Amino acid sequence: MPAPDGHPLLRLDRLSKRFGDRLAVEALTLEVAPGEIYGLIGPNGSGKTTTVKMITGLYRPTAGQVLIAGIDLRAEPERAKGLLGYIPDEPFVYEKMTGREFLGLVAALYRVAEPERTRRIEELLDLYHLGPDADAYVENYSRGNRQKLAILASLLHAPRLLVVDEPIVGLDPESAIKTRDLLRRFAERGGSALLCTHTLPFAEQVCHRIGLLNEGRLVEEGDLAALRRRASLPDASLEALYLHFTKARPS
Amino acid sequence: MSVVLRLLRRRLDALGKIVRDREGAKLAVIAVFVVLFGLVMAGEYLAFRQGLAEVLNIGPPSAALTLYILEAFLALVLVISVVSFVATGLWTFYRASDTAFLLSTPVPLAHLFWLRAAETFLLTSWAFVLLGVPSFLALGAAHDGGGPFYLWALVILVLFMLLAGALGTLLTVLAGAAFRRYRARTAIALATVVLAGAFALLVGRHVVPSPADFYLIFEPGIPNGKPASLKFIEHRFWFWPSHPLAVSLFAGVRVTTAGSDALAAAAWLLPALALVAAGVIGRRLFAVTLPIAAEGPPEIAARPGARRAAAGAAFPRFLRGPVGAVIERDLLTLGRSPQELGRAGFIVFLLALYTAILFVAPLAEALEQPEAVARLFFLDLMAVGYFVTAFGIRFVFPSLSLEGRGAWILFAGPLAIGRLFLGRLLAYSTVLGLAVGPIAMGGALRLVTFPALLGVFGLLLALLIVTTVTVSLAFGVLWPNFREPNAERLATTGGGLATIVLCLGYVAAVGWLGGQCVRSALAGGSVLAYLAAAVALSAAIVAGATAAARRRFGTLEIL
Repeated sequence: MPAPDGHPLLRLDRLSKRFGDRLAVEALTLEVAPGEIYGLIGPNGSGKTTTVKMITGLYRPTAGQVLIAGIDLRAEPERAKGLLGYIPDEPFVYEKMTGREFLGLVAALYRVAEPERTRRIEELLDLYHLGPDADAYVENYSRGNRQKLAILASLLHAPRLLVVDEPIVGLDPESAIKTRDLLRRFAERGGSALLCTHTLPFAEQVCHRIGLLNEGRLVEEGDLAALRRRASLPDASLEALYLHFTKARPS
Repeated sequence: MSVVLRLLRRRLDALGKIVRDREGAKLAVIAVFVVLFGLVMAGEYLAFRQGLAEVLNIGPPSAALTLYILEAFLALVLVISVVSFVATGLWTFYRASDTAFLLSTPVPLAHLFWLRAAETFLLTSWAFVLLGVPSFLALGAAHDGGGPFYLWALVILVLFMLLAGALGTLLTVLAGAAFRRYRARTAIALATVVLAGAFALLVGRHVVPSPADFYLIFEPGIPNGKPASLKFIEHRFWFWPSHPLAVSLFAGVRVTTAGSDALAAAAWLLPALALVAAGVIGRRLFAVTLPIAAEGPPEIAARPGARRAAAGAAFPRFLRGPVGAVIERDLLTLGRSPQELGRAGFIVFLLALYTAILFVAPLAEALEQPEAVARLFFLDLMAVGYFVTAFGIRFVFPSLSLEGRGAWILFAGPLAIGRLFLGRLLAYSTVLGLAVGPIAMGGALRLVTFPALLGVFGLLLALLIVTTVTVSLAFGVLWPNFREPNAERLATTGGGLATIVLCLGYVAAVGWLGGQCVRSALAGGSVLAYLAAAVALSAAIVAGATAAARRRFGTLEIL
């Protein structure tokens, strides 16, 4: 599924990561096309976060390649990362900055110039109604507000690819719904997203394709219909499919 | 109570783990501290013994003078111990990291109270060991005290520690109750200032002797069988809790000249009473205060917070580009952290204090001799280099590691780490130059007034700053630790120690070259060869450290 310029927005080519004797990710190959939301699910320790950290350049792959819109992350890290927005699983934000200052810092890192920077910040703050708290120090933010701030920061520079690790942990239901709609709109406008989550109903609602990672290997991949066919469970939810493929038995 | 003992043992086990796991860097730091501690104690012992022996040689007034010294000394150690106990205790009693967890467990508050008292006592007992032990040993040596005296001195020391610990506990819970609604740092600062101020007044009024006091101390009269001087001293110190202990200790070496049965009894009773008071009053106050303090100050509880910046202020305001924004963030967060600002200010204060000492020290004669000037110039560069290294290891070396859990913000973004390295090198060198430069140049003016030599000092200082900042930054990149949020602990890792060793070695070399410049200039020769050597050495270190850091950028992972 190539992009108009001939490249998928994300391509992982036989990506591996080894920590000492332990192979955390083994020869992982996948592609995410423009307009597609790809969900990566799997048990704890299956290699999801390690994969995300390799895509965002926080870990260096032991082998394999990460291509973002055809750009090799290792060869041209700044160019590749400029196309990417990242929402981490733990939304740590500098405590002694205000929310608005933090967004200003991120905008500067991605070279979003004034007056576009201020316009984008105000627009995004409205998205989660964070405006009234924007000038309070982050140390006073709840976990949910920090998560919202991290989501907004990832969107500031209008990325083409979003890499999201646990998007709705800590969010109230209304904000979780907003986040779901936001991801859908992002994909409808041609953006791609790679989503790692344990919240399977959320993944079922927003993801076009799902990859199941187990012990560092991609053991299943496809849209919900394909996964149901392979499991011979025609009406199964993603939860049921997950349990089926990980060999567990639902109680 | 077994919970208290188990928790205490777990704390001590952490020390044992360092030895068992053979954590080289930490062991080296502990070894250096033990050696330094031992050297300071040995120095104190020698100074005390010599001083007390001199006092003995002055004849009859020696008894009164010895008692005065003991009274004043114990009063001062008591003050230091209690202030240190309260400053530490306000944190351990109310804001320790495991307080919330322990409050959620069925550990009774009374047990938690004793746990905190014991922890704080252990943390602040250095004053007794560092000051008490050498002075008591010196007293015995100067007065030829035998085994019984040392045994007696040990008993007095233990009673004194119990007394200081109990008073510290009482004052801690009183201060905790008084400042329960304040932020922890504000409460600690307020309590320390109030206590230190009150004690300073008391010490100034009752401990520091006036000329008239000396007249009384040397008063030979013996009304009612006791020298008037001893009576005066006992009267002067009667309300200090340390008084019965000082007199009892004195009685151990001058058996019949001071004290009374009542005072001897008070030496035992006072610590016991203080302990009971701490147990009864302290425990109750603690139980009332802890839940309030644990909630935090009202403005934090009612978050999102009252602490706000100027509404709508844009960021970055002064610097441009991605690297400029990160540096502005570094400076902004430093400026908003009173603790970090305090530490930076403390280093600058020590440098200013050192420079002030240079000006008041009697150096006029020495500064007439070229060799003495060269040596002082060398030592001055060493001292300034030490302060620059202290700043580098505390603020520059940890700068990358302290990105910590927020490292994703920078490293998942399109930021060139090499440019950030150079930007920080420029920024930290400028800040350090502005903070240290004027004071250090002021100190150099005391030693040399010859403009060429002042220029030499300025150039060497600039080299010291740039090279130290480069080494600190580069070693921070070579040995990052994104999981350690404590800058002091980062400074005592292997990378931190390597930074200290290399920087201090370099400082010594530059200091020596500075001294050679002075020798040559005052003998009418040229300084160029020495300056060229300093520039070459600095350039080699800067180039080597930068190259090593650049290689590391390629393999850096945010673990």
